[in-house]
Amino acid sequence: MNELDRILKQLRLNKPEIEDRESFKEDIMHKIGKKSRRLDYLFGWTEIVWLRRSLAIASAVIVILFLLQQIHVVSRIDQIEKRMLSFNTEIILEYQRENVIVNSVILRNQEATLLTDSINVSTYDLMNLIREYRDLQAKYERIVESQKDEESIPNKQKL
Amino acid sequence: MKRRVSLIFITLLMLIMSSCERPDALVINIVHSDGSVMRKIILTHTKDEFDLYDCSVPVDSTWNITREYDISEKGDTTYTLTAVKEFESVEGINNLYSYYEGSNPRMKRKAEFQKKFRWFNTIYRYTEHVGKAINGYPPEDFFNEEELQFFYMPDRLVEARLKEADSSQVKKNIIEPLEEKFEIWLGRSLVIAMIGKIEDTVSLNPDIDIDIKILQEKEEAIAESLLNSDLDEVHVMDSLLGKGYYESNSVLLDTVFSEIEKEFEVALNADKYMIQTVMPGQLIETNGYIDENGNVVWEVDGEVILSTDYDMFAESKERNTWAWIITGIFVLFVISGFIVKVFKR
Repeated sequence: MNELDRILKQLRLNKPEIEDRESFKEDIMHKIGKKSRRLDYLFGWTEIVWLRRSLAIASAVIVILFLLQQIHVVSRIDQIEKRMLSFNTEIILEYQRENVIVNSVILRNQEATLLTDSINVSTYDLMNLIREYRDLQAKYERIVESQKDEESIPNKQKL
Repeated sequence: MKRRVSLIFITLLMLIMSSCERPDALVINIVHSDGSVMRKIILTHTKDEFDLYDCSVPVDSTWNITREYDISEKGDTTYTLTAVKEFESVEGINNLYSYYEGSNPRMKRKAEFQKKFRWFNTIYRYTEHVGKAINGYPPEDFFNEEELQFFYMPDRLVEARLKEADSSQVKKNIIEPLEEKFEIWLGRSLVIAMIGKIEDTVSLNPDIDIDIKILQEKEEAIAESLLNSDLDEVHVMDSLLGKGYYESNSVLLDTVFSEIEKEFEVALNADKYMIQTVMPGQLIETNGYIDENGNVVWEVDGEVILSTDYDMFAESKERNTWAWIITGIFVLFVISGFIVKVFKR
């Protein structure tokens, strides 16, 4: 049993007498009317033609502006996607470290690059050559190290 | 005074100068929405000796400095110095640029920050500007879009790009034509800058009898001769403009050559460095290269500042949530008004 049924049941049982029927009726009508008056107050502008039109135009302009701004932003973001590359700060610093080492190797023999009878090699190729050489040297050293380890392990087992 | 202008030599020198014995610098700008910038400079060197006053970018001992070293797999030791400073605005950075006397003393640099309110979004724009060395041809006049991408690309990114599967195609179709055009662009830029200076002097001194039109017509031929012949500028000028041309205008030409040489040195002696910028909000436009973390990277070297102002810019946006809510409520209110009106009828 809900609240309303409970109230109705009570009323039926008690059969209350309404003393001032008219004022009671007016009171009820006033309370019902309040809601529609509030709505009229909030949306009263819809009855004023110039205000209604102005607000409609303002809303349309805002929506159009919003759409245009978003389209512009999205197209700019699409453009910058072409400039995205696979690297990060750590890769840059790693390259920087390698670069200063390679540069120091070039500088040790800088005069040779200025001699007239020397071969002209671009800095890029020269640095690449030194980098490749250094990689090879590191690999060679690792192989030598691993061979040494392999040789020492059986000896230990024999012992 | 006779000056031997060998452009190939200059080109080579320009490349060799990049490997001078100074630390490599990476400048990191963390830009905040209020316009303040946290600047971090990472210097890498093979020695544990850092001369902060001879650095490619302004930095001094008042910065928060930390040092560390790294021993690579190959057994090489490199030393890193990290200097950090918080700037309330870009004016602080510009002040440093104005007093700077390091390895790029005549480089004209400026930082700019702009904040624009656009109702739904706030747009931030950060620019690092480097002025051009000479009044030559902009690279856009000589290189196509693809070549320009590699022209401005930092060396380390070019190298990484050339390790990808299509590297031989990239080398053949982009890098090699770029290298060929580079010499022509460099030569013609120097010659047009020289003609521009002669023109300025002649316009101020009408007594000087030099026909600028003839010089302009011969501009390409002068550049070509300087590039491909073993003649010095005296013989090049005489062979193209008539015997005794140089001698009869030697005072003016010597002055112009010396001025051009001085200006050109800004690019030639440029100590290159990298700039990385972290913007507030979402990145929407840049002329730099974007890394995996959304940071923007550029490289400043002699080539990119030779004949055109280099504006390294990044633009980002931050959504104004409150503006979205207010606008949403307003639009809903207007729509509701119309609905109520329809129902009332």
